[in-house]
Amino acid sequence: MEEDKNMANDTKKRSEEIKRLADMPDAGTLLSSSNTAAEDTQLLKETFNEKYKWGFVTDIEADSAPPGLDESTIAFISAKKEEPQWLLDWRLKAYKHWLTMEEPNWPHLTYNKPNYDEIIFYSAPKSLTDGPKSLDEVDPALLETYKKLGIPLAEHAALAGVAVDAVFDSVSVGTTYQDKLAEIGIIFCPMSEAVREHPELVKKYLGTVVPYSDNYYATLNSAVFTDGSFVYIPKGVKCPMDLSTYFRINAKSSGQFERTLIIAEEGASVSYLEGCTAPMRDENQLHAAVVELITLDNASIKYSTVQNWYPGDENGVGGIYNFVTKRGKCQGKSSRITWTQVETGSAVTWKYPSCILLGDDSVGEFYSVALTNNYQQADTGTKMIHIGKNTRSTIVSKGISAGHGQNIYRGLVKIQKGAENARNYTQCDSMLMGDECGAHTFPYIEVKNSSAKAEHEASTSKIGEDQLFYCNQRGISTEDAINMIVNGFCKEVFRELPMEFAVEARRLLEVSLEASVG
Amino acid sequence: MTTMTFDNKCFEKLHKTEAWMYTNVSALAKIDFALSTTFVDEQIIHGFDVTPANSFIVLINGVFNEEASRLSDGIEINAAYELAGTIASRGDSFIPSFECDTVTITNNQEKTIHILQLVTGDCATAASGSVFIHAKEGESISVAETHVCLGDSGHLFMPLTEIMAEKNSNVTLVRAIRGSNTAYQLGQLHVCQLDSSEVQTHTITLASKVSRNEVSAYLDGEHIESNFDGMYMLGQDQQVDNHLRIEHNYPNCNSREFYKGILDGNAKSVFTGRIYVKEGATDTDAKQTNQNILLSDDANAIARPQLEIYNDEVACTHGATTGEIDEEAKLYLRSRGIPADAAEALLMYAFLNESLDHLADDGFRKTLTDELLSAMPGGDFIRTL
Repeated sequence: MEEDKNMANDTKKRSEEIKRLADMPDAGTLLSSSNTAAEDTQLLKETFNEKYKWGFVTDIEADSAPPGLDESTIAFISAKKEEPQWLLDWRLKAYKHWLTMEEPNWPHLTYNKPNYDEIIFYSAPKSLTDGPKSLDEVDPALLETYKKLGIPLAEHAALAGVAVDAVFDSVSVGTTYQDKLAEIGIIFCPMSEAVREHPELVKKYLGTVVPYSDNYYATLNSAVFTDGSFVYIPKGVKCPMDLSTYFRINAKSSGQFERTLIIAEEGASVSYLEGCTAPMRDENQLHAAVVELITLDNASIKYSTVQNWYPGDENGVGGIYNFVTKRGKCQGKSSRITWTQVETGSAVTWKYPSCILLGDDSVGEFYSVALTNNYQQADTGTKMIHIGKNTRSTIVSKGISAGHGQNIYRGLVKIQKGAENARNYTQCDSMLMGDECGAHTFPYIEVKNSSAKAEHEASTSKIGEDQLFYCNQRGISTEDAINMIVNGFCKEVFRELPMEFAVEARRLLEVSLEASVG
Repeated sequence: MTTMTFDNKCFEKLHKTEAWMYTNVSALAKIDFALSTTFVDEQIIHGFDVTPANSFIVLINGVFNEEASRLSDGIEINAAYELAGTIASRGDSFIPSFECDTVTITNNQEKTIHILQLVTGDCATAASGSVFIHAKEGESISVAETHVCLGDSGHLFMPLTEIMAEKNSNVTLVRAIRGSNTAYQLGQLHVCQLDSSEVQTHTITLASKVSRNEVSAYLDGEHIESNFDGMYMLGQDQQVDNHLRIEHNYPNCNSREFYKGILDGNAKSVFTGRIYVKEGATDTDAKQTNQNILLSDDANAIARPQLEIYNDEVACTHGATTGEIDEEAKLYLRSRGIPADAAEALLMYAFLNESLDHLADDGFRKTLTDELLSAMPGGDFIRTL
């Protein structure tokens, strides 16, 4: 109880902080200035606990499928979602293909493979099976959970100016701002609703970027995906606010298989935020999501993620397996897709947000901060596939390893024959803290066009004794100094994040690094 | 010596592994290779014997040819040598090895020792050949190997070279791949170095259909210097796959990987350079670079400069560049009255010759430069200069 109270206080503080920052004239300058960083550090410091602070379980009876996976499970999920026949057929096709596949062994990761017979592939909070019409109908216990998480739903939503499609286990519980967005033609709804309300759009785009046969986890997701977000921005519309989804794994042993699809029509643009927390558990939980982005001529999508799922304890017990396929297709000319991610959680991460640069003059960007502490492992990076002429891509990856953490950057830059004058710039920097962790860089550069240029830069560094000494001399504690240096190291990525995410990201890094440096 | 029976079925699914993902040699699994030794015309061998004053060792289809060879002290054939095979067994190469003669070199008499390995036969022939170089404390050894497949029957050559460099020793090894453009050359080089030793290797690929050059180095001491260079000039239907793994196991060692090449037609180059830095191997300084020039839009350059680091006191860099001939440099030459194709040839020659420039042995360097010029577009023009 005491802890819950603290949580609520924290949430309040956080909302106030976000509001304070939102009122500032220039948030970008604010976040990159070192003075404010120190101030924020001070302010946020009080909220840190050594243990994962968001480890609690909401007690809601789940309406679950039996553990294990076969065709009847898929039919059960499909029936629960009242899906049309074509989607069920698609799921079954994926399932049949999945049975022929093998779990990949090439990542530089060691973990116990999940037992798919023990996973519950569908679980929905029971009180929601009738479907709430508004926030008032949502189970108060659920709303309480979000409050603990600090999700700006309900009144917080208005304060923070964020429309939230909060996903609790597998069913979306509340969608705000939908009406406002609908006025300008934007569709922002749970995937299952999109299947019912806009089947023509879903049918047209689902699986066009990540086909059902793509890879082991994406194929599994195609067979059993339960929910996720669907966003459609019509021609010429600039989405007036950041769209946001908070994911949360809750019911015991329920893997989460989200499927998100974002389509930006000609000249449209949108910024999408994804953030995650999960309760503390001792067994590994699987998360295999698929995200597909499509941009047509002159459209742009900015997809930002802050991921802080439970990383396991200090001995490497428990934690989330995060095996995610994220891919965007710049289908139209001069379109742009930007991936920004801050990965601090999960025991094992396997994630390569990618861009297929199909349209001439299209742009793909990838900014990433990945932190591994204790026994966390992250094999993450990106793929930039240049197909159109004059396509450009930028990759900035920052890996931080502490404790026994293993951080791997794995990135592919592929320049196809027709991609004349394609340009790529890759920078991957690693920072090591301590001598038991690892930082690895595995770039793949494939060039098939002589006019293309691919640049790759990499560095590996540590926090210098002289840097710490300099800070200590000026009365800055070692811990604050480390936070400052790490923040500086990640600055290039943080400044790409939407403002409130940047605050959260910094905070997460500090929590995650706590007690890792002595 | 470790010997295994040769089973070419192992090539069937090799390209499905991460290490071979860019080099598909599954065609080898379908070929019924002959494993025989035949006679080679004296004139052909003589043509490769460029430094008559030096020791010269000839292996034909993996079998030592005494008549054509000139041995000296410190060179032994099939000597029972305890260390042989021990370095190779530390790696996890998929290239099979099988029965062949082994050349053991323990002293070089201050002159570069030349080893010529020929593969020949009327039909597709598979052969292996093994060389073990052991530089004892404070000694220097220089070896030049030439690997040649003769004829267009699509031979398969799988040479294995091991280097043991003890304290304060120095080993230089040049390996040149020449001969037929229909052959498969899948070579392994394994290097083990102890305190303060220096090893330089140069791998020069000027022929073969598919050439895979694996290098594994184990830096088992402090203050070691390791240099691994490579150069290639390839045209239509040719592929090279330089696959390196440098293991830094102790503090204060430097290693360099520097591979460059020019690709014409639909040639393909794969470079994988893994630098592994063990826990506690502090003050490691490792660099790897791969540079490619593509002369055609069908050419394909793939680079995987990889770092695997378990230590925070290191300076590791890697770089890869792929592009066309520098237009500005070309303009500079043209504005001084040099025709466009000659300017291109000059720039290409300058780019590649850097790798040959520091080969110590004059005769060998001259032969390789000659070979390079004949393979290079505009090479005849350079000769006239």
